[in-house]
Amino acid sequence: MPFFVVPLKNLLRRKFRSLLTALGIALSVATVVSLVGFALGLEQSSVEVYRGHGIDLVVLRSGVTERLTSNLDEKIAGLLTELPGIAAVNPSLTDLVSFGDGSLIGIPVHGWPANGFAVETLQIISGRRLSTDDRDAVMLGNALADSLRKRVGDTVEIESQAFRVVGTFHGANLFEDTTAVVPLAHLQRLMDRPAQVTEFQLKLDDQADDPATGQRPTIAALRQQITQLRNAQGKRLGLIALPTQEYITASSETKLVRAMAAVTSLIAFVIGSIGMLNTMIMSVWERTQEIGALRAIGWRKSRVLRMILGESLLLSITGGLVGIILAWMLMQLLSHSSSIQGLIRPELSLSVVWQGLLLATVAGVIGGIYPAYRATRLTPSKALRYE
Amino acid sequence: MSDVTATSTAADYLVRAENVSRMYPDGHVTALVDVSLAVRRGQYTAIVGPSGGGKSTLLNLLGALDVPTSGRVLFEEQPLSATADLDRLRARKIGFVFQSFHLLPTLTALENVQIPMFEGPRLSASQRASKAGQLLVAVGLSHRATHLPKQMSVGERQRTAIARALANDPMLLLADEPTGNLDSQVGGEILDLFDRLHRDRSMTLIVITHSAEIARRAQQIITLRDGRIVSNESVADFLSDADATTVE
Amino acid sequence: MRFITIAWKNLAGRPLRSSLTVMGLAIAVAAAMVLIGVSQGFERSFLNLYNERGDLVVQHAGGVMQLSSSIDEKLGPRIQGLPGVRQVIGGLADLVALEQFDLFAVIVNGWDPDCPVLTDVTIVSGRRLRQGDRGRVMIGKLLADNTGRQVGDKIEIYAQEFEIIGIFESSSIYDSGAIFMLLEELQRLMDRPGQVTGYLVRATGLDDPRAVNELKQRIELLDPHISAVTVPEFVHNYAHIRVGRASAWIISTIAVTLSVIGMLNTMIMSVLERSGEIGTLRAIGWRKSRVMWLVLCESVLLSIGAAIVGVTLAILGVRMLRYWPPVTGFVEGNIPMSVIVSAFMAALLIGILGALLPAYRAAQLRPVEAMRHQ
Repeated sequence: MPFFVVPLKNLLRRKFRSLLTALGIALSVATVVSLVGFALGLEQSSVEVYRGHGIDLVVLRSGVTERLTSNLDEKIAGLLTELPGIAAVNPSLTDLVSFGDGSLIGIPVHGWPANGFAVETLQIISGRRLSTDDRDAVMLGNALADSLRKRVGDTVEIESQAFRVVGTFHGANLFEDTTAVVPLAHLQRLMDRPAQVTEFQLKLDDQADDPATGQRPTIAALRQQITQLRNAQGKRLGLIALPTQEYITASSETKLVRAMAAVTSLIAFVIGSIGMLNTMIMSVWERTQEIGALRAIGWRKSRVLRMILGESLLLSITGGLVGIILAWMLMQLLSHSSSIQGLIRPELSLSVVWQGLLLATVAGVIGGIYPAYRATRLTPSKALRYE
Repeated sequence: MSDVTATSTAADYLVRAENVSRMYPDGHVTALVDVSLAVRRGQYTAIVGPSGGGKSTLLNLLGALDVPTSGRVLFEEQPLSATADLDRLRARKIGFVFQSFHLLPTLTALENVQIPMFEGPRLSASQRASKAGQLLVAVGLSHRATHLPKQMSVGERQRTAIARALANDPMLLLADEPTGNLDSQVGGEILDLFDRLHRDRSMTLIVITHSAEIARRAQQIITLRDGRIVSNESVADFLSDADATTVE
Repeated sequence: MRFITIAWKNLAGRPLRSSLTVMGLAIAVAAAMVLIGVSQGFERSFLNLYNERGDLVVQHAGGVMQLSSSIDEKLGPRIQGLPGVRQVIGGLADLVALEQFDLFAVIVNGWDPDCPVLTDVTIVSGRRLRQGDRGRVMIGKLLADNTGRQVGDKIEIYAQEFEIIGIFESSSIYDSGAIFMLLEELQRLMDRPGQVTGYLVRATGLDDPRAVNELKQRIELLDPHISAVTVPEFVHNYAHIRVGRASAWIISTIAVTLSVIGMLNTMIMSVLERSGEIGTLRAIGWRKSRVMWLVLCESVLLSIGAAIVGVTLAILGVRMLRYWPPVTGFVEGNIPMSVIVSAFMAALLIGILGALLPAYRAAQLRPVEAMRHQ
């Protein structure tokens, strides 16, 4: 009989209690895994939107906390275009507007030039793209169009101004499917932000060589050049250029979601560990006599320690595995429900799974170590007298 | 099986079983088959017989802890099946004494005795405490009132349990192997206590036992074997049979 | 002995387990309180600050992000000219990160040199901003403490260097953590010439709600693109406050759910472990309902303990948050009484919810359980 059979049988003897404890750990792990998975999924979805348009670099004002308050003169586009290795520049002004549905953060409306690459890379479902002579025109992501019940030819009201729907598009994912696109100049006028944009989206040309050096510019060099751009008076413009992934990771939304996931995970972990500790203490206390008997027949302290820790780890790791399965099932379920489809990705990355298992293991050790220590302190004679 | 209706009138009976059977689907606990008996007010009855003979099953039925599969149990000539509130009956009219005492480990002797009073006649907290104190005096444990069960000897624990059984002044005291966990001297003291209750308070007692010592003090001795009553006799008959019937 | 004594002694007799259960629940309660308390405190200080300065907030209509609102600064004098207006404060605001100090959200305000906000703050050292102060800023005392900067030092904002010419003190925690510069300068920095984020309007005689409404309409008639809302409305709908509130509630809900399950777990185990004891209680005549009450009482006692410990932890936690640089400037060091009361109610609810199933299980134990010899 291998040694681990002993702790296993001890657990099976108290099936209901073991089940409850494992379930407690499972729920904690499931919370952590699904929240961290959710946070990473959101991040990935945002990255996808940018990648879908072929955006390599995003230029915004250095030092802003909220990317939406970044404000740049659209004329900077000219300076950027002149830099070597840049294939295209798309100026973008984004605002969050409410369509009166009381959503938490509002619907993003992008102001893009009709001839920019961002508009050109949209996948049209019905109607057409914006054209340069469009005035009060809007393109709606198909999820937004559905929820507003609008079709091509209808009008929607944005900031109390009527816009005609000229087309609906299919975005990279639900993120983009719930956005609207209007001509840049129009949104600037509407927001009273003439000639201003939030960010510049850059597409790099990986074929072109820098005429000055005759070499292909590296991204790092290009970012450095953008940071150093100056205006006519020689004053630095204060720009920063971020690769897509970095841009999303640095955004305040990502930080918020990550912080939320971290705080919740910590709480879940503490509660899970305490539950574990509670069960193991109960289990050691009530088996005082039994453990004393094991010591009396010659078990070393270390073996008793291993038995109790083994029980606690078996419970917590089982709980952890169940938790991961629960989280996976929850994500499958959520990712198939229509309302939030796309925001939640059905897959769990390996790193998240490891995090969940690690958490369960640590909870098992925390929950097991003190009771195990107490168990080793039982002297056979005293334990056997205990009633 | 002897005739239980011989000379008494119905009103004299505190508890009666009529053709009671109790079956268990899983066969785990001993069944009872067609058991009839009667216990008069103030009578001291012992139920004896080998382990697995159905003694505890019978006690559960007489104590309104369980209901028979067929037949009926009457308490004060009222069928239990027609009694709406068996909890109330148990709380106010029956006292229980168990082999392993079943005291609450976190409560002192005085507090343990008060537990049934919550279901008894309305008393204030201080009235409950003083009544419990008197009961502890009656069982000879007044010096142990503030001790926890684990701080008392087994005999003292059983005395506490008896005081608890008397908390609501029951008419019937049911005891299941009350001396099973005690050595013979302490067991004897407990039996003396039962005798005193029987004599001084005219308490009706039904005691399950292995011990000939208890059986000797009883007025009626019922022997159960394999779920059936094999004899029901007075103590004199029982003692004369002692050579034939092994009391375990 | 009272009934509650039995419940109490059952818990006190298992001190380690009871205290662990209390801790588990207390941590959830404390976490929820800190988060909700901070988010409400955030809102309240914001409200106080704005209430001090005005009655109505004028912003660009339609946008959800208040910070990205934009209004022409020429509108200010026109609002000032309306009847019933006593004072108009216009300013440009932004949030910046000062990464070298690990501060990710510092408020930057641009004010006119004669703006009451600038003239009202108390200067601790250095001097006030004046007309023509280019490349110069005033910083709040809290920010000065957190960054260790003094008058004469440089500070980098939007990748440009600024000289600190004054450090000021303000009753509002937001001002204390903020950077002030001249409006003109911030407009230039942000490439938003001639624009402000919004106006705070102080009205004369605002006791009459109808007067507020009329003023609101008069302001909105000036320009179809602007909207005027009362300060409480503005603060309540402020994007950051809404997100903060929602996050606090989501985390709290999860924490509370987990702790209900924890409570359920403990109580069920404790009931099962005591099935003999509970069977005895039933055998000696306790009604089912009394047994249920006992379990419920134990659970509620535990949760009251958890509420007390949780409230203490939360109060200490929020005090400590004040000294954590990334959030100083946003967190005030106290938890509103209403949050404490709600925490007690929530803990009580958790205790009851967590005990329902175990209490039911306990009541279902048959009295004959007691007759089984162990």
